[in-house]
Amino acid sequence: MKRNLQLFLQFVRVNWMGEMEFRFNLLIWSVINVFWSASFILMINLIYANVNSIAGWDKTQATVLVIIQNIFVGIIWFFVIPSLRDLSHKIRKGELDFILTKPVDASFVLSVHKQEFDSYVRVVTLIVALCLYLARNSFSISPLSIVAFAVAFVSGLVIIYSLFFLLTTTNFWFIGIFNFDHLFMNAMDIATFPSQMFSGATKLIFVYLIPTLFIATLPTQILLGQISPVAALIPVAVAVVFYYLSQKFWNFALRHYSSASS
Amino acid sequence: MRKYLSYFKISIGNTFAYRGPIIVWLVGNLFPIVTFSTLWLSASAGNQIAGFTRAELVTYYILGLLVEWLTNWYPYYWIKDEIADGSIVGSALTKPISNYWRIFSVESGWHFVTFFFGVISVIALVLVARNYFIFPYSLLNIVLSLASVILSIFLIFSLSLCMGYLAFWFTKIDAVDSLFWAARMFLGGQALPISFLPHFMRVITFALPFRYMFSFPLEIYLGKVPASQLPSAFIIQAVWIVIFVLLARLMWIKGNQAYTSFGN
Repeated sequence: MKRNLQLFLQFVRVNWMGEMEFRFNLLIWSVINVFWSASFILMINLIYANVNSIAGWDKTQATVLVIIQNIFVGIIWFFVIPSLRDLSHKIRKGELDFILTKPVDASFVLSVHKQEFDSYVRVVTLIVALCLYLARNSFSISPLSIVAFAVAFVSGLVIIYSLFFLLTTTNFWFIGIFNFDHLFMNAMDIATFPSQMFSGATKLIFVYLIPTLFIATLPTQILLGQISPVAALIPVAVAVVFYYLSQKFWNFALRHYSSASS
Repeated sequence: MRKYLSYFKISIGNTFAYRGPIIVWLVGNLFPIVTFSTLWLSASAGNQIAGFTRAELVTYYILGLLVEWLTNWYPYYWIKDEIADGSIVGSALTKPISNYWRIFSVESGWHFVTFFFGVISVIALVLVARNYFIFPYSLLNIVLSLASVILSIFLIFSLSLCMGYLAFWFTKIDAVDSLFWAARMFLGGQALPISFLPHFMRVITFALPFRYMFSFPLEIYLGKVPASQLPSAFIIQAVWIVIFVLLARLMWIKGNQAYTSFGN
């Protein structure tokens, strides 16, 4: 664990040095990403100018939801998607050897080694925006719900990361598929709106099968006190199961790896 | 003509090598359509939402998916790569062909195949949402709508070509790509129909090219464009095409003069 943390910090350092090579690029991308998030918040406002409520969520609640969803997406973009894109590339090109032969936890290294700092700027901006918005709209939030929210949110990250990692791992069989990230991005965008609006078959697929419930809706409900903080235990349990399965699957898939040249 | 036909044929063959990724795109593209359709059907509001009935909104998003599949002639990614890695020297600079029509032929091959994927996914959606889907009011609506789709193809194609040609001068141009999608999403009506925008922004979108890349054919289909405004809207669409075609030509000529490649 300690060793993995040290490795992670080293990766942060190396990636940061890489970003500093193109400072102007980093600046532009940071601005664009903040702009993207602002557009989503604006979109919620435009929708609520024409509707009264969505599945019982009013405008302020939906705004909190979309900010939390954007923070979530920002963190996934910070290192999960860049790393998994690279993992997909390495599997397809047969370039895994250099990492598999090192005395490290390969699945960990492959999941965190690439980072894009423009997303980091977005996440920090949005966290500040969330705090200001909550204070301005005088939500009463107990310290307990904040802790439960944090637990649920981090578990949500683990769930979605595990799912994406598992899908990327199928590249061992589906060598031609290079665009899983398209699926990841569109799946996370489902969580822009409250999960309660889905019903029947769409609920089964878009809330549970693709577990978008854990991205924003459940954490937001816990934060705003709509449901008991104890509910945070559900994502924790799901996260444990998903993480365990993704690691099992990774070990299974590795047996099908047949390098390129070495 | 025969030269370009062979690019077209080769491209069709290549496209089949990408059947895995195409299925991923197919599935991924359904997510926002289902999400937004569900949003409108479940939202509590009056009969009209920003001038649309719920059925019109569902139809807008389903047909929007078709417009997306039909009009995304977006060679930006591979053109910028060809320029960056120098392969454009062999593939276009030293050949007696028009680069514009070479790229157009390659894209035609790709879209000839993906067209069927797009149509199948839209038919499936129409079947699922048959209670809400609005079938066309008149033949004229369809014809005009299709005409604007074809113009959208040339518009997106020419603009993305200009964006790709930026690689002649700059090494990192990915920001342009992101800005394009953001503009089409929020100013072109892909996220929300343009009638959701505040009045002053709506006026701006009528002059900008992005409405004519997505929302315009859908507005015609649903009968949202008054007949008196149709001619001027088509003229604006055509003018933007001319601007980007000429710009692409100019950038190609100037880019060739400025271009330095190594190892070829």
